[in-house]
Amino acid sequence: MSRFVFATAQYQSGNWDSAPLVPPNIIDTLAQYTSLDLAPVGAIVPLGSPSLLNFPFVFLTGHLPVRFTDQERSMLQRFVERGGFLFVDDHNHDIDGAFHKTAVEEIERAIGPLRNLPNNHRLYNCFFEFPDGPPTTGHELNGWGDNLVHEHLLATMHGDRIAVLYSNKDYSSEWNFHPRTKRFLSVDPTRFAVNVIVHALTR
Amino acid sequence: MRSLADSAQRGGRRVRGAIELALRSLAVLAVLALLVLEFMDSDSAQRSIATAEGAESALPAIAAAVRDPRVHDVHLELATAPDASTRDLIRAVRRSGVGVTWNAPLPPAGLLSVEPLASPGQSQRLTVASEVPLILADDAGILDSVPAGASVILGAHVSGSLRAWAASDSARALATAMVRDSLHVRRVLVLGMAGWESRFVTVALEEAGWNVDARLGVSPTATVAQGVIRPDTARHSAVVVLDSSAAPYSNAIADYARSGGGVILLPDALSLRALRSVAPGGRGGLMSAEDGMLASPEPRHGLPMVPIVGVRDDSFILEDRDGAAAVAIRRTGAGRVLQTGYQESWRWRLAGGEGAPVAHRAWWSSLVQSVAYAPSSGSAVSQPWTHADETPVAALLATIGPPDESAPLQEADTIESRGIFRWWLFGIAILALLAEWASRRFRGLA
Repeated sequence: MSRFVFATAQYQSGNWDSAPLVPPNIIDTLAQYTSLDLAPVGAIVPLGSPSLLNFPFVFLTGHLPVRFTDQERSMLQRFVERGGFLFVDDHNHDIDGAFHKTAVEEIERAIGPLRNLPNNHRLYNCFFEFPDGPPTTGHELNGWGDNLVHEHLLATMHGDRIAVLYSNKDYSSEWNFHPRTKRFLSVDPTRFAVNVIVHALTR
Repeated sequence: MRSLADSAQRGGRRVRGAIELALRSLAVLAVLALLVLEFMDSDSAQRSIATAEGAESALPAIAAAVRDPRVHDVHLELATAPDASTRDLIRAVRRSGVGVTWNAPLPPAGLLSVEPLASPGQSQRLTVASEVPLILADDAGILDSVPAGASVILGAHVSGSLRAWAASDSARALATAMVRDSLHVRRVLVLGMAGWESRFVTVALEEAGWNVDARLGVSPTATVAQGVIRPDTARHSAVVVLDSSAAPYSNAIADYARSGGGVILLPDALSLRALRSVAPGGRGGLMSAEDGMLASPEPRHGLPMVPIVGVRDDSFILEDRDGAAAVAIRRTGAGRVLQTGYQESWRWRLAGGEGAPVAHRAWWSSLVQSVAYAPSSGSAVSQPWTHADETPVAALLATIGPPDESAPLQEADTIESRGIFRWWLFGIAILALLAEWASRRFRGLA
């Protein structure tokens, strides 16, 4: 059985490595809650490389404007057409931020339109229950003092499956801490990552 | 004077006596000729029927011939070979005691069959073989062409009946076939741990049109499930077992196979004893994937493989790689169990060459088809089955034997001309006897 590898997309524009602790933290979370066969360390995969097709789940984040190269766009299209799952998180969490505007533009250009994902989608109950939809992050509530809460995640569908899951809730900040810190938290904020990955693996 | 008159009278009587004798003799000869003709007809009565219109036009002539008790043999000289209904009639006539020989140019040998596949799209498998180039068509139009000497299997949706004719002669169908059954295809159950293989197997099968139930383990206490999980021939056409996480159902899966269900086992499923008991073989050592082969014409060489070893005597190896069994199948009770040694087939779909997703989907669907439990739901045809003529030449030789080129061709009107001749003879005999009787009456003799 092939192991699940948490892969982070490396793209040429912007800052793809803005949340370096997310992969080990999510791997730790998966190991805690599931018995999935996991690679103990994540992988970094260039978005324009054919090696992208060795990783059906890819995480992409950043703060800065995103402009895909033709090669990156082409590989991303191929990745999605063949059943890959891209999870994009805006490390800024604001509405009109540079990452959000450019990343959405690039995704819609390469893959297709992003639509609100209903908050009763099975993504929110495939492992942990999130009856209100995507969990709110600390940065949304008070991190930047704007109390801006995004009600929905966005998704581009490929058939009836999620091809691109887009969040501007800033999970990259929420999950970007050392795994050992979890023991000091009353509610583990990375639990939603388990749902994202279990959903990617089972649907 | 008297003596002169007497002598003239005596001379006239002698002449009339001679004429009467001649008339009697003529009547006797005519009767003898009738007897000879009757004897000849009863000894070798054969009616020959020649037709350039085709075998169909010979049917009324055969029917008329066999109603004549004097006809013991019929020879058919035909422009085209007898079709299915003519073959059946000839065989029936032979069984009634009338010998039937025939001669016609044989059509090119060919085979055409169509059978439903256990696939969700209700597609059919066409098997075609022919000595000459063929064109295939169904009621909706032309389907495909087949080169000479080829034996091919095609997947298609056949509408109504299927016909094949020689590309050089579109006037007459060489063979006809039709789907006689449709199959009830049920769901596929996928059991395994959540992972890329389970995900992409499910995706491939759903894209191919199968409805999929699944139980995918995520943790010791959590599973992601859809549909009904317990294997049941009333609901499932096949069960795909990816690994040992199916342990709670292993005995049920083995029973399901024995009761008619189809089971596909991946290498990790062989760690379950109940499944080993129904598997075609055992597990060998891991063979690594061959670098760069995923995008080659043999993409499965680019997958890691656990060869099937100790293949049972009642199993068949469907695919091998470098001499090692890769896919094998066996019957278990009323069902079938297929074992594949390939692992991580999702890599083929994701990283294979152009068309890899389609090929991956088709391969997985074909594995399921090869074991799927799909009971027949009766006839799917609206026309009588007798319209099908799948192997005309073979059926011709099997039912009425080869053509008889050496049979003498008698003129079709021989017997009729003899009949007319008989009436002439009969008339001559009657007239001769009447004349002889009248002559004697006029002479004063009784």
